Amino acid sequence: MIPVVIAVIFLVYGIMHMTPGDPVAVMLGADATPELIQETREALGITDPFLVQFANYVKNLFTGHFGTSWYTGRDVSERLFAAIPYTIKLSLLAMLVALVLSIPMGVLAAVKHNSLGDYTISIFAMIGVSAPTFWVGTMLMLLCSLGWGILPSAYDGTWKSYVLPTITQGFNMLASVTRTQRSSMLEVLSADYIRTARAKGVSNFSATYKHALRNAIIPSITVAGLNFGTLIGGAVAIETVFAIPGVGRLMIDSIKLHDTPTVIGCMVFVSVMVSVINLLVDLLYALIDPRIKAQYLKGGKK
Amino acid sequence: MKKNALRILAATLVLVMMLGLTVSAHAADWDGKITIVQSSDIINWDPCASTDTNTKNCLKNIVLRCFETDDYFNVFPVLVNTFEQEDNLTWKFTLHEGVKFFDGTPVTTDDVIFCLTRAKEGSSSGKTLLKPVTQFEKVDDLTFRIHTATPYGSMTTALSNTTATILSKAWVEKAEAGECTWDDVMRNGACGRYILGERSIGNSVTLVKNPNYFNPADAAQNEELTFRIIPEGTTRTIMVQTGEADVNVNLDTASMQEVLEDPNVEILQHESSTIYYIALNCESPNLSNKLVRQAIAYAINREDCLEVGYNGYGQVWENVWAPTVYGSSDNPSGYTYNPEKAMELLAQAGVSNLTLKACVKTDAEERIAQVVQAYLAMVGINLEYTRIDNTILTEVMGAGEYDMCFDYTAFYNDPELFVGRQFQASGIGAKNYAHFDNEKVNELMVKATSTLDEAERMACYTEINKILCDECPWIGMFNSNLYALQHKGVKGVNVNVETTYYYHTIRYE
Repeated sequence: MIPVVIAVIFLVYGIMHMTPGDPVAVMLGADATPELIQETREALGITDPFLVQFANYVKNLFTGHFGTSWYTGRDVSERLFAAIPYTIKLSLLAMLVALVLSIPMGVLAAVKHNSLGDYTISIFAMIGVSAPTFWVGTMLMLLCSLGWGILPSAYDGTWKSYVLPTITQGFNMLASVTRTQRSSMLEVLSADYIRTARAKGVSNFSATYKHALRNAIIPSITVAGLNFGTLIGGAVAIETVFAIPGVGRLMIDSIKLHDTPTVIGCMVFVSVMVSVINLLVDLLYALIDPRIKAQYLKGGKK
Repeated sequence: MKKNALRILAATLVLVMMLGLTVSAHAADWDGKITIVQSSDIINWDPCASTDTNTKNCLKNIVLRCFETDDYFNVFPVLVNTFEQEDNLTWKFTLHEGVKFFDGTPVTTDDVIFCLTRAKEGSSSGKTLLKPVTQFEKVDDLTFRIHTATPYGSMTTALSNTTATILSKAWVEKAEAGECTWDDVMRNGACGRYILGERSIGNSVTLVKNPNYFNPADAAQNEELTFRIIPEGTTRTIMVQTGEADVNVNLDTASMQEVLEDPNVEILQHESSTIYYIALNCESPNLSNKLVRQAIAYAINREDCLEVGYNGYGQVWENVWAPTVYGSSDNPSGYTYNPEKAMELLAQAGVSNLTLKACVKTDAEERIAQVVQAYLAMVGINLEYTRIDNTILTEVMGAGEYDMCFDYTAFYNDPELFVGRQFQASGIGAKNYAHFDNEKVNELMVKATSTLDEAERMACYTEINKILCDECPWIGMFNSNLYALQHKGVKGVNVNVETTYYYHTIRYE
């Protein structure tokens, strides 16, 4: 995980370094004199060569310092740690809603293959995969806040203000997991061992939900795990539209200001989160599928 | 099956009822609280480090300055009770008695001199605005003098700038030493109409009415101001429409059509001091000839630029300076759209097949550049434009990489505060994107800054403006309007030429 994070930092640092734009010009405003601009650049250490800046940053990171924001002059961790709970809460809620709804919908579509229900779910999933997140968010806001007046349009600290962002953020994952679950379920339901189980007198319910679902759910978990990274990335749009002060919004604000230390702080958080989720997904495989657990154990003995 | 459907419907209705309507009827049961939505958070409370508009607007409600400006940039005293010019180089000021910081300590000239010195030495705006100052002298606890090297007619305007904010010396020193935060300074070491209350970084800032404000007649008319940070323009608009917020001070012109028909909101409008313009690099071989610059000014239809670039929300303006600037309104530049005249001037200059390189930074500027490109093509000029990041404009224009740039800027009323940076050699490499340097302008500026006679200064500025219109280093395009959106029933929102920042009068009646 550490090499992955360092590689991410290197890439982001490189990209921010190459991006045209002068953070000092933003910090000092239009009245700044060329001398003051140069003095400030030197004070921030951005006149150093790229590799020196990068090495200094990584060294500080290992001592727990994310650096000082070039724009606010405050410790990056202060703002970052204030933002992290919002993003985690939103992403977990979105994931929870998406998984709770998508697995039954995918199973239902597969079991009722080629029925009206299957078509409806498939069309819904297709829209979910295609619709841009910010568009879904704006439409929901226009409908539920401006039209019906039942939910707040922006984050106000109440549970109500999490409803629209959660639906918006979970919509895409809900759709893609539903599609995956449906196709995976269809494949498993036509497998020989399910037919054998039914021939041996196992009930339809038991064959579907006890035998087939257990095997068919693994691809959905993979998709959900991979999508979690997208969820965190998608937080940039959601948090901006619904004014949630999370990491996504912090990142976009910092990119606009060329505040490299804050951008990298956000990226470190995102990369660590994605790595941790990938690890959890791997562990979950073993929990669900005894064959994978056996492989892990065998690998461990070697 | 039908039963299940009914159950789902009933559950949905219950849920909807539980959620309840978020719209509130403010006017009837107003609790003294006002919510303002703005696009960005407070960056830094330090007045010497604050450069963004939203930070400054919020800050101005917590702090006081010796002078403030009204909706038309006219200066009036606030902390200062009386002031006089003792001679051409000396100003004497007396503070109001009984003004106290939030921690109960009195505001004295020690605090004032400390803050003004700090602004002069540590802030980019302060360095420019207080440049003529040679000494701040304490007379007694309420009286101080400012000595200048040359007569300085813009002294009161300079003292009205955010950078010249007066804070408690003791608290600022603590913040500088890292012994307290700037939030603490805003809770103890300021003396404005509001005290900083709760703050949720990136989310909201709450200000609470200062019960001990020194001038009760001018105290806050609401009990609490909450600034909600809402980056998305549509969300800000919807929040005011639904009543979640009372005022949107950053109304996007893109949202105007959506709200025009809504009876729950009102749009406030004010002519601004902001001009959209094109700076022409006078040192570029393509544009060093004045006739070519004038030809470009004649070749552009500004009405189309305003319509396409800013949805028509403004007024066509052909002068270099905003209408609010001293000396500009009496000088019609005469560059009304006239392609024949443009071609005549180009022929006179002996220029043909001219290709110009321009840079733009925003969507609006890009749209304007497309219109300009089309109009210049009609007179035989090929315009190629590149989109660049805002933060490198000074750098690329200073290096002369482009013949022209599309930009917009707000003007002070007093040319003394911007001519040096924008139209004199000292500004080349900084804000003088046109690389303009004119001997006559330099002479007139020296003359204007060396007198305190208003009529004489006005005559100098009018003459400078005439020269600029003739030399054409900038082509004024249009003067944009400023807008704010308020919920129905809100009173006391004042949009001024620059932005909206006096929130103490906002209330429901």
